[in-house]
Amino acid sequence: MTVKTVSTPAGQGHQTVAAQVVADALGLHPEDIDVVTEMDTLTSAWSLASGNYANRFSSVVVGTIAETAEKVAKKIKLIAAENLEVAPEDVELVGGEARVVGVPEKAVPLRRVAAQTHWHPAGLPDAMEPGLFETTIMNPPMLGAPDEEDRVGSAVTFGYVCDIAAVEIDKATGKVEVKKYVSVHDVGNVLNEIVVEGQIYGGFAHGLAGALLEEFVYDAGGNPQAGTFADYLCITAPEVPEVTVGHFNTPSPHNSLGAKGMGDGSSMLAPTAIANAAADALGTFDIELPLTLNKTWALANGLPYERAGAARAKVGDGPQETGIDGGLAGEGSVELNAPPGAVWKLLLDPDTLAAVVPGCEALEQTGPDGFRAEVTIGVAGIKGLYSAEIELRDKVENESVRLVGKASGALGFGHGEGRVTLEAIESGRTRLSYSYRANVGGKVAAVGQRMLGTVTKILIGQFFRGFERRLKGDGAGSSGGGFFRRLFGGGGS
Amino acid sequence: MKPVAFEYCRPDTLDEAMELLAEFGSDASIVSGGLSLGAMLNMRLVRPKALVDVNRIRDLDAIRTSASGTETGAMVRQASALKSREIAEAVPLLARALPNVGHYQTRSRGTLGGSVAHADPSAEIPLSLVTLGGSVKLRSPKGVREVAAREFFHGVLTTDRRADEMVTGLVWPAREPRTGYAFEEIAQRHGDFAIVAAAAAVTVGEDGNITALSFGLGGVEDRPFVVDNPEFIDHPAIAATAQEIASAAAEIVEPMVDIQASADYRRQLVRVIGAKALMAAFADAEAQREAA
Repeated sequence: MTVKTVSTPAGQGHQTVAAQVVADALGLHPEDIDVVTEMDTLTSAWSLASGNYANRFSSVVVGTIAETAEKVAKKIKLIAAENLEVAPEDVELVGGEARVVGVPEKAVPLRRVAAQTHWHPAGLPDAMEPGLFETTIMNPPMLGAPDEEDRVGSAVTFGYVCDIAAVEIDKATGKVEVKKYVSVHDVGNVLNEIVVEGQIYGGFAHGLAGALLEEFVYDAGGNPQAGTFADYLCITAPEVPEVTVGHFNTPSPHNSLGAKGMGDGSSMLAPTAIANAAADALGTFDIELPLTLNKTWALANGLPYERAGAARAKVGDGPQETGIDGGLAGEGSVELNAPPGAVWKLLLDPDTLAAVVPGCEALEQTGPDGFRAEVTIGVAGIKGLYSAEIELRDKVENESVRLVGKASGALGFGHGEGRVTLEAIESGRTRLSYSYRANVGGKVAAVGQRMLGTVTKILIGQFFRGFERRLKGDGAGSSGGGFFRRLFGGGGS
Repeated sequence: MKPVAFEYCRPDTLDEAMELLAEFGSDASIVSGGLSLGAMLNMRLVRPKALVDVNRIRDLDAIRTSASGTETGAMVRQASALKSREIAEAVPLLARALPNVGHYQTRSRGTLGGSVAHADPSAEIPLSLVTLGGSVKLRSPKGVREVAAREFFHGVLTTDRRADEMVTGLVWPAREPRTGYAFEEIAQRHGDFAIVAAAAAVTVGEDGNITALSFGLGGVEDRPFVVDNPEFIDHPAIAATAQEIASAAAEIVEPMVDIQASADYRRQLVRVIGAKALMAAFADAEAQREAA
């Protein structure tokens, strides 16, 4: 026995339920039934029931399967009745046989009846079509034609759900613990208890994930910050508490089995129930899901919350006084064994820069205050070639300079600026202070955000070590030569 | 999600591995469990010319305990270490940290040495090693060296390991008498890298006062580190002291900021999780005093 339906399940157990319904109607075991679930517009036209959405299966598809099975059962009984010389209403289908009610030894196997419809159609009852194949198309009266605005009704049944959540929030850490969760469903007649409960749990888990964990995060530059499943936190089994499931059954009048759609389980209700419970616990209705740890801690303690990593630095020609707003930023200072004049001269010398910029493969001067460089950055085994353009601005000789630039390479791109200030200190030495801020995009921004700080620190450290060696005149590159050389390869492990 | 083309090398001996590292240097990536490297390869963050698979090298999975401490080979699987009675007795802090490492399944593959070489700032094994003042054994074609764990970790995924070196083992100091060990962490989900992890080793004297203290933090800064807090020696090993130690640490840390946690939130977790770890260590030390 083969059942073909237009539903396209994604693990909701349509095959299980279809086989069960047909087996019940024909007196077979569910394992005797092959269920083919597919929708291919090459072989059949699309209909409203095609596909896997809006609870088609239990409200519509399974009703047509039941009706079709009844048609097949009726035909089998008619043929068997003639073979057994009894009235069709005295035939029952049990254990793979059509047999006379009350006289179990008077029986004919279903396979014989089915074979007869193919091999001996002339022997069928009068006017009966050969073959044993039935189709049912359901046309519920409430599904009207599209209106002038092309709106069309697609819902035949309406399930009801009531969820109750009790949560406990740890004020110290922001951890939300679901202490009790009750979910009561009116799905009409339950077609298969295990399938229904499984979907309720699954829907609840997804709803809980939306309530507590899952979030697409972007920085102000539009870079996705949850670019992998290490950052986009799907729910896993240990995070899902036990759910008490209850049923309140009002059968649907719109299909033969009285079933209603229930495929969404608690997926839409769980976020609401959790949010409402949290609102009650926290004494505020100003709740935005998901209730991640940091956010809930801030909420529970009346602190402002802004998702970290969402800020973006002002770089380039923006007002400089506004300070650092976000992105990648840092500052520091080094003390150098030379007066500001000497430091200044060396700092703006392309030859020096080519020698001390970590991983500098090539550096050329593109104008009085412009440079173009090819730099290999290799830290933590993550290595890539970047081309950078840097411009010097607001030069105050022997005192300060601003560097504005952009770079791009295999793993991403960025633009940023730095400020360098020189200050004479005791015994002819100089304190060089620097600050920088940058916005980074591309792959490295999406998956390697937290590495950027370390990489920058390491590179700055390498730069100043090289610069100091250069100041002393005993370091790498002091023998002169062109810009095109590589003095600091990689540097990391 | 496909790695760049690379040469796959699977040496049978350390000497063969050394030859490969000498040949490929920083263009080689060493893979043991591959739990972090696999993802980084797939995302093409790492683009090695050669992948040196050290899973076939024998003698790297031994656990040896002597009076001076315990040495675990780099290839000791996390699951084996967790099951090991030797580790439970000789390195209780590691035994308490390990259930927090990834998941049951990933621990079957993940190695102690791999976690240390990878140097995720939130990882539990590096934090345990740093807290206990252990060290990392490295081997290169030129020879062997041992680096104190507190100097080994430079930053996020960056260590003192040179391109031609391989981590061959970890050295865990012997457990001290009358010392309590505890590990606590908080993560958004079970098995995630900790937002904040705290490890504590506290020795408590007969008078109930702290005589030695090592309070380590992971996930807070760009590497695991031990808080410098000698001022708490001779303080009573009680809840109030635990709060003070953790709160003092929260004031001095410079936390990382990522999409999971702000600097302020990480400081708060240092206070809460840190105090929890310290109190558990105090209780552990007290239990030993009673048993003695």
